[in-house]
Amino acid sequence: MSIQSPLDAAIYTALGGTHTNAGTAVFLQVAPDNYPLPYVVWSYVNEGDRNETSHRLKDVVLFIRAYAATATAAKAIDAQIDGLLHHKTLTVTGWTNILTRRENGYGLEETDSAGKKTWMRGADYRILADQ
Amino acid sequence: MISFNMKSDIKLTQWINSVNNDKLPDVVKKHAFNVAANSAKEAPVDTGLLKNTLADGVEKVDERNYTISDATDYGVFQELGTSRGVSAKHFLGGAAEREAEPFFSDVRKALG
Repeated sequence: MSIQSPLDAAIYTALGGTHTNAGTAVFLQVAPDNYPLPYVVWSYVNEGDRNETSHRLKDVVLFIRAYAATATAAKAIDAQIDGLLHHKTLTVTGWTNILTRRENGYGLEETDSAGKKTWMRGADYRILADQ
Repeated sequence: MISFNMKSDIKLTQWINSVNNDKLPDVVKKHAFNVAANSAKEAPVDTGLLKNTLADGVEKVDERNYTISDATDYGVFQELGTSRGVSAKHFLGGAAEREAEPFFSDVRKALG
C-alpha cells in the first residue's frame, strides 16, 4: 500500500497557499511548461517499508526544491520550506507522521540558450509514518 | 559529473571509519558497487553514456570510503530535474537509499 496520495495532499497543504513566496505554485514531479517563476516542486527519491515492527512503517524521502530567477529568492523559499517541515508534524490522512526532517541539501543553476539563469535550492526530506 | 554521499549521519560514518573490524572494508566495497550497479540500471538511456559511466564510476577513496560518479555534464540534471520539463529521476539517490538497509544489516553482521 502506497502512502503517496495522502502524503502528496499533506505536502501541498503544508507548502501551498500563502506559506511560501511561491504561493500556490507547488507541483508534484514537474511544473507545467513555461510556468512563471518562482515555484516549488517535490518528487519521490524513495518510498520504502521498514519491516521492523508489526506496524506498517513507511520511510519516504522526498526531494523538495524551489526554482526562482535569483539565488536569493530560491534560498528564501528553501528556508521557508525548511521552517515548515523540519521536525514538524505533517497531517497525512490514514497515517501517523512520526518524523519529518531535512537531510541532504542541493543547489543547481541552469542557463538557457538565451543566457537566462534559473536557480534551484532544495533538500531531501525524510518522512517516517506508520499505521 | 554527479556524486552522492551515502551517510546516515556524520557521527555514525565517523564511527564506522574508526571501529577496528577487518570485515568492514569488504562490506563497504560490496555495497558501493551495488549502488553503482543499481543506479546504472535505473539511469535514463539515450546514448548510454550516463548508464555506462555510472556502472564504471566507483572510485576507492580509502578502505571504507568510495565515491560513485558519472562522467557526463548532464547527469546531474537527470538526477535532480530541471525547471524546464526534465523530471528528477533519482537513479543515484534512490539506489543509495535502497542500499541503506542491506548495508547496515551487513555492518551489524560484521560487528557480530
